[in-house]
Amino acid sequence: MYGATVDKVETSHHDEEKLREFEARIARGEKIEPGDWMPEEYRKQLIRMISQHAHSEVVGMLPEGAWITRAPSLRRKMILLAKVQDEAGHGQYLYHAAETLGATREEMVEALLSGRAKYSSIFNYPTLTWADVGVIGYLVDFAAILNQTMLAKSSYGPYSRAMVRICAEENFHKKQGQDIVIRMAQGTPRQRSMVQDAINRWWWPTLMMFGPHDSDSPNSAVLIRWGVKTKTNDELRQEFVNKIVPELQTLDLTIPDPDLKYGPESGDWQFGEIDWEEFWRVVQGRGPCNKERMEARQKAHEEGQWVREAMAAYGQRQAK
Amino acid sequence: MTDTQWRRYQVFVQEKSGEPHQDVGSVHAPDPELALFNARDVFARRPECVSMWVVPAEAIFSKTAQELAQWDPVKEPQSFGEAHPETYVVTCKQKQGGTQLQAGMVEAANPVEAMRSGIEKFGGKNPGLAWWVFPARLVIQSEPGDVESMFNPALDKPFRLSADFHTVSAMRKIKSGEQKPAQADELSRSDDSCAI
Repeated sequence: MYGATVDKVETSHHDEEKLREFEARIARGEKIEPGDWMPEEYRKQLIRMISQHAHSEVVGMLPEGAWITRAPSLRRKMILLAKVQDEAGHGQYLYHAAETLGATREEMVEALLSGRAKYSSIFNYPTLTWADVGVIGYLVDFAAILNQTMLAKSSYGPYSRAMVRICAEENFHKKQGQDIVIRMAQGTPRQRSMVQDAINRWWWPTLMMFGPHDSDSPNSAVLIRWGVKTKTNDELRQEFVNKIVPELQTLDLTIPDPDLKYGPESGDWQFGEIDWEEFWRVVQGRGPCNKERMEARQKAHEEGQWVREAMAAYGQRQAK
Repeated sequence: MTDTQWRRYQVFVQEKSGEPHQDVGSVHAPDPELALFNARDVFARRPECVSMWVVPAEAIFSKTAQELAQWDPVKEPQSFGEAHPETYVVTCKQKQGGTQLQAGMVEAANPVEAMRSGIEKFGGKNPGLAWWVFPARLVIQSEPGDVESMFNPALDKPFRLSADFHTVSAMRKIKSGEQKPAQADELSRSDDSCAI
């Protein structure tokens, strides 16, 4: 027992030195690569964040995927199809990044299908009209870009590289959405009212996407210290509001927040309080579409079984 | 959990002819050929790939600069056993924000020796931030004849690029009052002019 205690003390002293060196590397702007020493907490936080991010991309295919068959023209159908394919690809980039930390694909897929895993609350809202496809691209993907541009500077090499690829593709997502919104905002009175209605429904869920206030975000401090994130949830949320409000105003669209006003001193658009009860309700699985999304994922997994079996059989035959 | 998942293949993409292949991530597949197809769908949806490699992930022997600083090659299990001289591919990450880039090839008896000679041959003034070596015989690559079917279809889908949408200039025109609602058509190519 005595020996074991001494060992432990020595190890922790050793780890403290390693931790100092690790934090110094991050302070110098170095990227951590698989194989490098990292604190267990860094690894755990990254796996948590990256796998949730991957699940969000995968579930994110569903709300918009519902409109592929109902797109208003062949060109719009092809654009939407390409966008949804990108989301599938982004999920793959991210699962890969989590695998470099020792998570297995199997565990992550199982966590999603069993409902244990969390994913972005935004995808638990329904897409009621074609205008929703425009507004998701314009607002939701724009919000995602701000978060992901920050994560592209993340201290973990594989995560940062996945994010660089994703950001380049997300720009297309945002612009195709903005393109739809501009057209509808300048269209017939009915198109205008459709796009306004979509903004009214998606505005608050989009602000919730950035996550809880900094004061209620227990992981933020350590993630910022270790360079995984460089901005807080509230900073990113404010950045989004400041950028999108003038654009929506240019399009003569209104924002469903009576408290929204420009603060000339701060230069910020100040917005009303977010309904955090709604946020936690959706995160905890009681949003409008949580059940539907999970069922759709499970169904897709089951119905893809024969494809996986066929591929496995082909692979076995090739190996002979 | 028992590992029943398909083998993982590391994927390398060459964006333009003459440039080095670079690491982009990995895919799972039951065999190398399907790994290549899967990698095409995941990593080459846009016209930015002219050649692709997949390599079984477990065949890659890797060392970061931090690992190399305390590396004792003699203690590596791969140094023991029978020597099988063959050609190894060497890749290196040179920049903090960068990824593994194809450096060249070396002849070696095992991965440890390949790592040592790879660093010696390609390290030069820049010692590199992380090195990978893997046997060239395990690389499965797209053939020049595959380019037409695997990568060229992306050329016909310009709408996958954000430059195909002129939203910035449209917003500027609306703001300046130049563009009235009915003139929104020039925003992107007309919805009807779909080239397929």
